[in-house]
Amino acid sequence: MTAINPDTGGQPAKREPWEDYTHQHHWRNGADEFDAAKLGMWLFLATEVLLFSGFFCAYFVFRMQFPENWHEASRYYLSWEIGFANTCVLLLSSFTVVLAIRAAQLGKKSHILFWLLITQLCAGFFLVVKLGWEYWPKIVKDELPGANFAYGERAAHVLEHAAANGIDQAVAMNEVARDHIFLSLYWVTTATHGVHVLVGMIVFAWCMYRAWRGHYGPKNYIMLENCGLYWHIVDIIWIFVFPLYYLV
Amino acid sequence: MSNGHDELRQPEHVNGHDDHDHDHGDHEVHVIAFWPMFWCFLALVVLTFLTVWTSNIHYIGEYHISKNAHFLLAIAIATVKTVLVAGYFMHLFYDKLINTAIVVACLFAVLLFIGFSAIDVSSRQQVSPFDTVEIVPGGTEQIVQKAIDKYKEKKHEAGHGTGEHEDDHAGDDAAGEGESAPGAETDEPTAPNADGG
Repeated sequence: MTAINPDTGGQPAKREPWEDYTHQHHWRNGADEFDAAKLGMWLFLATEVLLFSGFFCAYFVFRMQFPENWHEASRYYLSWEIGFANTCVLLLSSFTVVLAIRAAQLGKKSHILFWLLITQLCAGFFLVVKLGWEYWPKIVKDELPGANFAYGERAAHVLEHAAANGIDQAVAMNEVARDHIFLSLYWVTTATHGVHVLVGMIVFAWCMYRAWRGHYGPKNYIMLENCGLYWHIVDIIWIFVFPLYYLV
Repeated sequence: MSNGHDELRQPEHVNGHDDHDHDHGDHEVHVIAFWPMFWCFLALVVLTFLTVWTSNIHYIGEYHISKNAHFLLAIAIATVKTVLVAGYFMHLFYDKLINTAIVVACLFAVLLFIGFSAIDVSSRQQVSPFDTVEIVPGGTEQIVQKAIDKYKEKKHEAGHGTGEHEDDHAGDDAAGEGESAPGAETDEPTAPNADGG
């Protein structure tokens, strides 16, 4: 009965809580419980996708109208290097979550903790880069959403260029006059995504605590699995945000 | 893993369900294989590189690649990446079909949502030729003029330190977008579609 825990060098380990895990009494068996929990998670993820589809819909509508503005605004306001780094980091974190779940299936507690820690570091890196290298410089330059937006260097450049070449100001300004729409969408989409990353970090911190207490193992890892699903959807959303905002 | 325990917790079954659930009550663990996941991760990173690389290619030979082509290509690559993440990382390839069904239904809804919006935006001119003004809050000319005014106002303020507002309408609303507010002076006649957004 006593599990041999590889983490303790083959010594009989004390019983971990997951070994005594029993499914809730209203389920026929553990398999049903597992599948139902997962199904519920997928339904929640569907609502998440629909939430973000609203932002993407707005994006498509405005891009169809101002493809040129979009392209220029994207090149001017956003740096693809930052987006690229963040994309890679999120992909890595998705992979480490998978490995954490695998570790739970194998009953290796220390591995679960290790992979979740890497996931946390990746998520932290993502948020620090986002706040420090993207949001803060924009806040300083008033490149804010909606009415808080102020035309800055880019408008100055366009107007100077127009004056020097005898182009009508209004015509020239047309180039930058939708920047605030682009930035509003950028802020709303990335900030909502960022909040999801933050929530993911909190949830994984809780998972780490539970893992440390020995709640996850081959008999019980559904919470980890569902948090992983959530994390992957956050990753997938970023997979679309990156090319649509940073590269197009 | 085993046993004794599970038998204990097996609910004493009621009404004839016993026949098919004697799998000791545990969810069967299919341990995730490492290498497929690793290759999947690597493929995702490679595809990310590919997205960045293709976005910087503007000509193939003499042929100019349009922005729309870039856009479609970027979406296509993102879709492939999504399939990889959903299929491998989220186990849809191995999982119960019902989970995939939820995803498909959801994507169908998204497609309707975005698709019909796109049809609407792209066919407005055909439906009502007199109504070809762009859908922009404030209307086209107004918004450009506002942009200029707003920029000048900011520059002016920056130049003169704290504010004297001697300009004709530079001072009335720093927030800019207030044309529909009842209190704002009507500085210019509004276009028919002024608040169309």
